[in-house]
Amino acid sequence: MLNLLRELGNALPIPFLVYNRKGETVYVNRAFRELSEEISAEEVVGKSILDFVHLEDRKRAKDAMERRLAGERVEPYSVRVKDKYGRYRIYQVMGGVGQFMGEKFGIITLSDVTKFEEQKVMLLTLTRALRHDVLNALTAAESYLEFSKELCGDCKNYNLLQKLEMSIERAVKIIKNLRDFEEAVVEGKLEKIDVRDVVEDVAKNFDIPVVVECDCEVVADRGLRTIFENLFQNAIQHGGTDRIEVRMKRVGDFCEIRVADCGRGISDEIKDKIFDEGFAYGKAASTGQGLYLVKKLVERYGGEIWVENNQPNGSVFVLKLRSWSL
Amino acid sequence: MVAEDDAAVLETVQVMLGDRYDIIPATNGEEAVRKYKMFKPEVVLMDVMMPVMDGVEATKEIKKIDPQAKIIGLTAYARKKGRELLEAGALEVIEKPFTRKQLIEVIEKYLK
Repeated sequence: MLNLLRELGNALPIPFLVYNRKGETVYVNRAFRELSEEISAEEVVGKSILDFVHLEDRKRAKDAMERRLAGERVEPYSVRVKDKYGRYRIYQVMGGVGQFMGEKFGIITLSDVTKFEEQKVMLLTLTRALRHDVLNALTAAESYLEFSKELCGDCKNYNLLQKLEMSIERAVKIIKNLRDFEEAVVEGKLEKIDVRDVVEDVAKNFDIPVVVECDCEVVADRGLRTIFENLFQNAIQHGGTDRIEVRMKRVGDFCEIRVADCGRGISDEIKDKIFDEGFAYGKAASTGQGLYLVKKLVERYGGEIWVENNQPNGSVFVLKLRSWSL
Repeated sequence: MVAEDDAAVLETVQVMLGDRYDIIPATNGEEAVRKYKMFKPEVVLMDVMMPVMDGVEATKEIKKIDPQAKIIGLTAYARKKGRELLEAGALEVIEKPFTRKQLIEVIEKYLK
């Protein structure tokens, strides 16, 4: 049986290894051995795989291996491992836990994401440079507009200046959405977030009352703030609501967060489109990026979002996010 | 003092604030540090992303020269950079685009 498993392991094109409670490697498959000239089966078995990982990544990898064996959830993470040409390549590590003869074993697979990571860095650098330059240009434009409005006073072209102001605001919003999106997708690992704290903090930036009931700790990051900012802004700007209620409750392994307003509501014909990229509707239409960003963030957290009608009027955005204490 | 490498932004800040304050312009972090030593400005508006020496490094250098220096960050960049500027010793960070009112309010707050 063990020989069969070994053969199957060797047939798998994805590198993987099995380690015991002490962190010692007990098995590596053929694909793993081909990663590096430094790693031969004889060398690695009985030793810690951490010896082959880049020094700066070792602590993170060690923590992940221990947490996995302790039964904790471990999100995929990246480590650098030296390849057979002496260059560090970046691998995404995923894993699981197994039990054999009463002893726990950790299993990790490595996927080579070096090219993807390099492209990501290049794309990020370009995006950041572009965003920086565009925001600088908009800063200058907004300042001159401010002066033009002062000089104009109540002149006949004042409404044109207001339209120009709206266009600049829209451009700024697009750039800031892009920044939020980038930070949410690229940065940070997911962590324990207290939803009530986030909601109450975001609510301070809005002029209408926001009622919060109950509390939840969820798997998220600071992008959760962006989610509530967008939902509140939409409820006011598009729905015209004068109050927002946020209610939370635990449903199985999830926290259900209901963000309700008593505004104009969302018609059935557009309900399934509002989370699409670029979808904008009505007089108060904005960039069409806000709810798309919200959905992408929720998906990143392993959750779901949908919209329902509120009674007697308004909308309820329902977020289903993973509870932290899984 | 206004440390800003983007000529258009530097010019607009000078236009916005020139009637109220004497402004010392600097176009990179190194120039900002040098001019801080020379002129000891009451308040520094410091951009984050600048050539030669960025705003975070320049803030650290100025704080070494004068721990009481009043530095206000200006950023068009990610919030992470804004946080770095605060950690380096900036009193607060204003996001671009900013208005004349915002700038005057924050400058007056620290001139008092």
